[in-house]
Amino acid sequence: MNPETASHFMRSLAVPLTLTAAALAALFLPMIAGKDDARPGLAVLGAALALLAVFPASGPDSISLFSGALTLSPFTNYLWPFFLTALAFTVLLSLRARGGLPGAGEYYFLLALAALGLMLLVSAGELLTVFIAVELLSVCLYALAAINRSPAGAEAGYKYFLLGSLGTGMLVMGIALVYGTLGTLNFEAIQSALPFSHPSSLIPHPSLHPLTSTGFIFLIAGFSFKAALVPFHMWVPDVYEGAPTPVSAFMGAAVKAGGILILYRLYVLTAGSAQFREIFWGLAVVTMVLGNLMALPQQNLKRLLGYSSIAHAGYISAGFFGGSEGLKAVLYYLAVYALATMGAFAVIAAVEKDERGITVKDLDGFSGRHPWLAGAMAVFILSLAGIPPLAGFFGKFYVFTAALKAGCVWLVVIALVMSAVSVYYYLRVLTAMYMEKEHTALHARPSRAMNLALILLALAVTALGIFSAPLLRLAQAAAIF
Amino acid sequence: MPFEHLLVLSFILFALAAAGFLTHKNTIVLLMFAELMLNAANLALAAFAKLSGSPEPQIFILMIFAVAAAEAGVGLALIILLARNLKTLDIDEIRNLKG
Repeated sequence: MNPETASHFMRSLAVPLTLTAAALAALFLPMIAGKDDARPGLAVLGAALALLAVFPASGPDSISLFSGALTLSPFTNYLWPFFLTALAFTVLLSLRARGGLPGAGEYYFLLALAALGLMLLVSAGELLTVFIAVELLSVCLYALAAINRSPAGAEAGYKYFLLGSLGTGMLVMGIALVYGTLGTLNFEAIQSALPFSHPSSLIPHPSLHPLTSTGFIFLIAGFSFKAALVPFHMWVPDVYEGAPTPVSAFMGAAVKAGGILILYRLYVLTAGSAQFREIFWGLAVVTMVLGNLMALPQQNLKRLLGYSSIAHAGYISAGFFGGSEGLKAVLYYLAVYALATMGAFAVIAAVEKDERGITVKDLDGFSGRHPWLAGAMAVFILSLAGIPPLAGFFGKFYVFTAALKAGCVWLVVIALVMSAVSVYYYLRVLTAMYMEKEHTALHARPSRAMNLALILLALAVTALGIFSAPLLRLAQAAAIF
Repeated sequence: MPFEHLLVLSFILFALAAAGFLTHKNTIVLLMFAELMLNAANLALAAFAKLSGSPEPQIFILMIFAVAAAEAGVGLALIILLARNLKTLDIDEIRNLKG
């Protein structure tokens, strides 16, 4: 190991270890130092910011650790800071909301561990590590959804747990079948064990062993639960509505990204087979069509954002087909989508009375009393709808261009039509805020931390649209698979 | 017992668990079926361990057991919370969140 690699290795290893230490500190602080609700949050926030500062922006090409269990690569160099940033914003949104509620220590502990699970998930080099990372993430999220111990939270947590464990069951069965027929769980070894990864082989139409195909189908289904693709999306609206709003924001921004990227890995493994490409094609189409159609009649804003997150997962999966340019677009899209959805949830967190959030009708005349909050919400919603010059437009533009170059014309046509449909429900939010008369006064008292988060998010969504080059360069560097 | 029999048994167990999961209404029974799916998959891994003679799948089984136990712990806590809040174990009566 040369000195440069060794230094990168040590710094990278410090990230998960420091985050774990911060999580434990957050858990034990309230027991040692009495009930100061801000301190556990500040511990996790500080750790996330410090790690963002020390994390190397670039490193050597790829290091394999622990006999291939973890891989550090340009890919993780992009995604680890992404998840740390999402964690930092989630803590900023939670700081005041946690005041006066029980279990602040546990809350930040679980949040930090969920972020850790996501970081391990994207750096995993083999399926068993993926499984353990997914479970670390999911078990924390089940508890986080119900952390307020309210009826809505308990229902959200249980529904998430139930459908999540159905997904886990499929995942483990898929892992068993893939291991049993291929004899390995390592991604690279699986890739070279699959018949269609050797274009020069003599078999004219290489086909998979039926048990291997079944295994991959189970894996795709299991991960589709985590990424919330239709028809495995049933939990999303309920969980987004019932979970505490900062937790919903974290799910939309970060957890979604983790699920999508692990599906991308499966896509790369199976892309040599026309049948599997068709499965992914079908999932993308069904997800974007049904996600948008089901969002149309929603009244609760958190539910609406839940369905909108399903639809966005569909658009993002269109980028799978574009090769390395597609991956670049997907990485860019995930970042700008995360900023916009985090921002929209932040506005809800600033005005809501309990964790069920607000309805679109509650926003009637919102711009009169709170012009700044309404302006920020408008920026986030317009970015989600994909209106230029905001970042969301460029995300869609790059993803659809990459898919188009790969020859998926129909997929892009459907995506464009569904984007047009989605404008309807996004505009409903805007017309409520700007055109309607106020009938119920919403009292927003955003804390300083929340204001800071809102300003940063709104600036980022605007700036990354007008100047998309820096983030695109980062995504480009990370898109080597 | 030959390897094929074990594998078929695990598939039957998995199918029964999935069918039970889709038809039952009690929150605790649903948790049991979800755990049964994991055990069916573990049995498949055990069958493959028998086939290959390698100890690797047995290690996977142990790790999956540990994860399943953690998951069941959180699941039971959620069921208790739900039962306290809504005074019911029937999944059909848990529908306050609806669009």
